[in-house]
Amino acid sequence: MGRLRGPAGWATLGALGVGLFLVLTAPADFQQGNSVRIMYVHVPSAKMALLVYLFITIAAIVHLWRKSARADLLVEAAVPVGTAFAAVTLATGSIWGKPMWGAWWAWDARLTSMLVLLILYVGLAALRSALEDPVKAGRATSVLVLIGAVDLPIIHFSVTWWRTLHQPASFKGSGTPAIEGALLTPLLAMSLAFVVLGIYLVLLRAGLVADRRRLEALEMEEPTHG
Amino acid sequence: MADYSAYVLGAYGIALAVYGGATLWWRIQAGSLRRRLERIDDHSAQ
Repeated sequence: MGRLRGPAGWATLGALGVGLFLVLTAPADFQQGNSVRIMYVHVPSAKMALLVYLFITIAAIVHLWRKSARADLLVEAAVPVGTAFAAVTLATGSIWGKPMWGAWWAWDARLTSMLVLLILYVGLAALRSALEDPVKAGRATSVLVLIGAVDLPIIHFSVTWWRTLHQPASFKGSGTPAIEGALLTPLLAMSLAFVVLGIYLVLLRAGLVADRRRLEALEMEEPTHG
Repeated sequence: MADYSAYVLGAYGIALAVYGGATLWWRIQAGSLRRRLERIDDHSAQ
């Protein structure tokens, strides 16, 4: 995994450069004005917050099922990355909400379920660090990941299940996008850039967690190291 | 139509601070761990 980190870092810089160029040159929305540009960082962050959770759910299943230490390492590595994406989603959504809705926050189904996701991410990190035995900590974290996965469909379908202040999805897997082409291109470019950023950050953290585990194992063998 | 540029700058500023800050912090941590492991490896090789 370490060999991929360098290329992923450069790919992130390149993809973000292209994405930000398209964001700067995209037209302002006829109703929202320049505030529409917040969408280019808010929507990709939200997609990544969900995608990272989906990733840790798969890793948690593999960890519990196969007792895979590598899968547990990936869960530990990816949780803070998902936390960052969820935090930026809520912060940028709030900043967009003030001029558009007239409020920084509303207890709307989409916003509340996304806040639950952020709390879950923080809870996962807190649970792991609260338990001293790394095997027990890994197992407990994976179980909590699986329990928390119920929030993913709630976030995704919240705008269709309930009447919410939050608008429906800007682009879906099929059908015509609900967004003008000139605004869609930078959104897709930034979404792609954030996927690459997410991969880079998980790889960076995976290397870090692997090194920390190795160091802890060495210190257990010979406590004079350090 | 209002400009809202201050909101846009605020949103991108937060994103830059969080993603940039996290990347920098994890890179610093990774570098520090790597150096400690290299020192242990060197010490073990002697």
